[in-house]
Amino acid sequence: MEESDNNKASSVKRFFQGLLTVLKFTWNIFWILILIALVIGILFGITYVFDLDEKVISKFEGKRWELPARVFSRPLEMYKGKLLNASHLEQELTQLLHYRKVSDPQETGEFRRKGNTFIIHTRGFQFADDIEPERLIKLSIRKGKISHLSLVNNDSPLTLMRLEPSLIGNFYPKHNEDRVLIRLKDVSPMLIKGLLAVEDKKFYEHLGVNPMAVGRAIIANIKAGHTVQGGSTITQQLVKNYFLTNEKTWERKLKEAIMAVLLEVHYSKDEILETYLNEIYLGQDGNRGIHGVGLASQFYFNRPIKEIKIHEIAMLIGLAKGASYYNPRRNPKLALERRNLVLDQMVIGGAISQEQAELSKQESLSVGKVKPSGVSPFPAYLELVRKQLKRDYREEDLRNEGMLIFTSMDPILQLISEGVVRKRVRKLELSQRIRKGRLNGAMIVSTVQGGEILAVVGGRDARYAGYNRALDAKRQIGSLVKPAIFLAALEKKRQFTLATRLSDDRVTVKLSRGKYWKPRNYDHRSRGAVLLFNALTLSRNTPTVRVGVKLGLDKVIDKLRALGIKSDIPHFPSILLGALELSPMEVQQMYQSIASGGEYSPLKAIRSVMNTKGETLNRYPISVEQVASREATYLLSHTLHQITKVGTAKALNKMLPSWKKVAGKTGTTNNKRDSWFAGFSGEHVATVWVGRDDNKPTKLTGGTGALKVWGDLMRILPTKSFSPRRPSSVRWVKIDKDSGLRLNPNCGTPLVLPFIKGTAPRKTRYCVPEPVIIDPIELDPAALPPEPSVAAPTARPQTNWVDELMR
Amino acid sequence: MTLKNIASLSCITLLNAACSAPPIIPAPQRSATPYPVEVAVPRIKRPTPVARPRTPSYRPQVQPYTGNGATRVEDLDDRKPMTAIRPSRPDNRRMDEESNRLDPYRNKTSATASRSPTADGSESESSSAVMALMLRAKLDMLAGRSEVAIEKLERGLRIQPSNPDLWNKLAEAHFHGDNYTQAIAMAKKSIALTDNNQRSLLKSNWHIIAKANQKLGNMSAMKSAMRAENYL
Repeated sequence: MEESDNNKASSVKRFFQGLLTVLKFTWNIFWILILIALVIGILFGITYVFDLDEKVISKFEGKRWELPARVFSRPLEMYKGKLLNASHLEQELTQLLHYRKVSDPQETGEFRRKGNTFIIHTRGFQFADDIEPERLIKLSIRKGKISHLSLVNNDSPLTLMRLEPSLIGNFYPKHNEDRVLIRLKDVSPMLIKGLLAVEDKKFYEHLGVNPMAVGRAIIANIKAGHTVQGGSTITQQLVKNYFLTNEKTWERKLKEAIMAVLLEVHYSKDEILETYLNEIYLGQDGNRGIHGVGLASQFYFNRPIKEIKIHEIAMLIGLAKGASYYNPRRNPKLALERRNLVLDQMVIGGAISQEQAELSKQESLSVGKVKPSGVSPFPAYLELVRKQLKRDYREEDLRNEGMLIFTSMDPILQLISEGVVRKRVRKLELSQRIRKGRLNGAMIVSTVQGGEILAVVGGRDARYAGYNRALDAKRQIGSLVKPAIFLAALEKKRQFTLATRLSDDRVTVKLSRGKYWKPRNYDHRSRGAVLLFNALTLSRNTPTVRVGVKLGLDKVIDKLRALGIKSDIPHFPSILLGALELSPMEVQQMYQSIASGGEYSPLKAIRSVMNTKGETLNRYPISVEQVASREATYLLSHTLHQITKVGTAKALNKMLPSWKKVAGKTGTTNNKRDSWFAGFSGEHVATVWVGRDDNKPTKLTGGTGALKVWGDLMRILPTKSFSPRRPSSVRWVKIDKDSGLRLNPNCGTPLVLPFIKGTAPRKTRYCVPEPVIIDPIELDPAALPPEPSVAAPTARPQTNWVDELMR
Repeated sequence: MTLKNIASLSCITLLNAACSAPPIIPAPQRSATPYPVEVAVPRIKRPTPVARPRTPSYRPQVQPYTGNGATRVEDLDDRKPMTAIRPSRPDNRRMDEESNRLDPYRNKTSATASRSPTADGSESESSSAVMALMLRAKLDMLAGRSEVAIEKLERGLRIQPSNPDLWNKLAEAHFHGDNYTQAIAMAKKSIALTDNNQRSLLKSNWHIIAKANQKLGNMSAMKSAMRAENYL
């Protein structure tokens, strides 16, 4: 029994022992499994963290943002003697650069005008290679030019300076984010202190997450029953905006916290803060998101971040909580409440004093009524810029890399040109009784030297980015082609001079067997024989055709190509009268080459392109190439000038002051479909086209349509008078208008023309007495009129001889 | 031979101004190969008898159109045969003087010109600005930054577009930037803008042209540029 008990006990013992072993074993396995799981988990966790880490770093180190490319106008150069209109300067300061007109300019971006004297506190600008510092300058304008320029606190004259260039457009990234990048040192400390006081008081102490704040937020939320408070630090907010979507899950929260810590590990507080200031979402404009305080300052107050005041800073800080809820344009009341709350918080945070806060609370929101549009006000010019950039850059780089593009656009001239086209085309429409809105126009203005494009008007409605007639409308150019033909002719100096006589009669050109082209003059008349000079000033068709045929079509086409026309030129004789279709831009190029004395400089809109680091990526320097003889171009330019005095464009005499000499050519096409004028002063080249998009007749000739627009522009434009430099091998000679010979002072009409040396007519015109007077039978020597002053071999000896014979 | 016959003979042979029935001068046809221009029938007006004027006066004598190749269509006013006073020996100095006097674009100090804001010495006013830029460009060039120098010089050209000094410096900058064709083109432009008495500037330009042509391997052009430089 005992044994059995013993047995029993020992079996129980054994059972328990076995169980224990099993349990131990299981326990061990369990532990091992847990350990393995833990290790795997940790491994996974580490890889996850590393993965996030890599993500954080790559995003931060690499391209941080996709930045739109910014397109700038030319900076306004200021120096003594510069042609400048006081009202134009004020317009540039207020409308384009958003300076404030004040009585005592203290801060940058402010100016005072008293009559024609300005005191301007300029903002300065970092150009690629040199910096234009901010300065307080004083300048006076007298008689349309700068007569005095100096620093305010220093009376010695300032030789040369420029205002900052104005922003004329952007090329946005695909998802339409917009940003003006700022550096931390550009931001007033008040804004930073204020922001931290409101959003993250312990920013400089915590490690990315602030458990205290989270705990406080959780308690507050539980009390309220719903989310009322966020415990996010600035770092967390940045992570949320920067890497994550807006979903509210625990997983995301965890990820956010981990990434925030990682960010803090890798980067300094200042770097994080700077990124936050640039990333923060502060508004919406159509499909363009307003990100960062830099752009928000422009968007709400039209001023750079440096220049905004306390109450404006407070409003921006307030917007961080909810940009659409506190939108000052839509919900001004809420925005004001929020702003004042922020002001109080700023006092608590020590950013401002109580007094400052109270004063600031008195201020209105001071938000600009009109949103500064993200869409460029100058779409026509911007399209030209984009076309030129496409040759050198890829589309994505243009949109994302934040390039700064400096153009030669003159915003004042652009606005003037737009106004001129709009007003004059409307007037023409009324006078010709064309249905409203049907007549349209285009204009391009560039500089004579260098071919920099200053203004492009693509249509009457210049703000609307539609059909850009200046670049895309290809129309027949009519008589505008004639100067190229005559230029080619004048280059053959032995064959043609300005005094070459040409027939104005009808001409028939054989095209092929049985096919003839019989062009006629515009007035269907003939003036008999005309000088080459008059053939061009009066825009006669048949002499032009004669000259063109004599030169040969190839020569004419070569000349057009040399002057810069790139599109196809058909090999038909009809091109001699302008039956070729060109855009205003191409016409501009051709007249540019003539205006600059026969030098081809490709028209350009861009001066240089800079990247975000301030390095110049590309420069577009002026290039010149002599494509036509300087002498022949001089003769031609003089003829083009005379067109505006006595020729088809003599209407300009009345439109322009007499000192403002210009040169140009009218053009009209069949049935008056297109009205053209292209020409230049001493400083500017301009081309104008007026016509209808449906290519219907307009009843306008070049002289009654486009010329008026051109004249309107030249009248307003401060420009130098046309005054070509005479090549040393050109001489002025007084000739006779009818015969093209040298003038005999006793008869005929004088005409002063330039000739290349050696080509001027050598013979003098012969003045004969009236034929009937010299009657051999009744010859009475006493009754004879006096001899022409220049001794001439008259017919008298012969008469005597006949007389002798007859006696 | 009757008197009448003799008279008419003389009329044709001697081109007598006293002829009542003037001779018809056929327009000369110069080119042997006709252009593809159809030749219209010449219409020659029969001159109407001229009434005796009350006061003796000189009437213009129109030269008959001599035709450009194939087009020979003219209304000839050929009451009078073509006559012109034989040219005297050209006197270059006199012609240059006259040319200067006639030149409508020469710098005048007339009343109309002075009304222009550009007339009263704006070039001299802005010259200090241009000088400052040229100096800065020179420093850039010495530092080997010809591109930056070009930018500054172009800024100067916007102020004074036809300043030959600027074009000369620009040619030099392009030469240092190894853009030889532009250097030549700009030096030539500078020459065209330079007055003949600015010899050092002319010399410098020809020097640049010679050097640039040498770099381009254009030896004949180099030699002629050197000759021009030495000639000065």
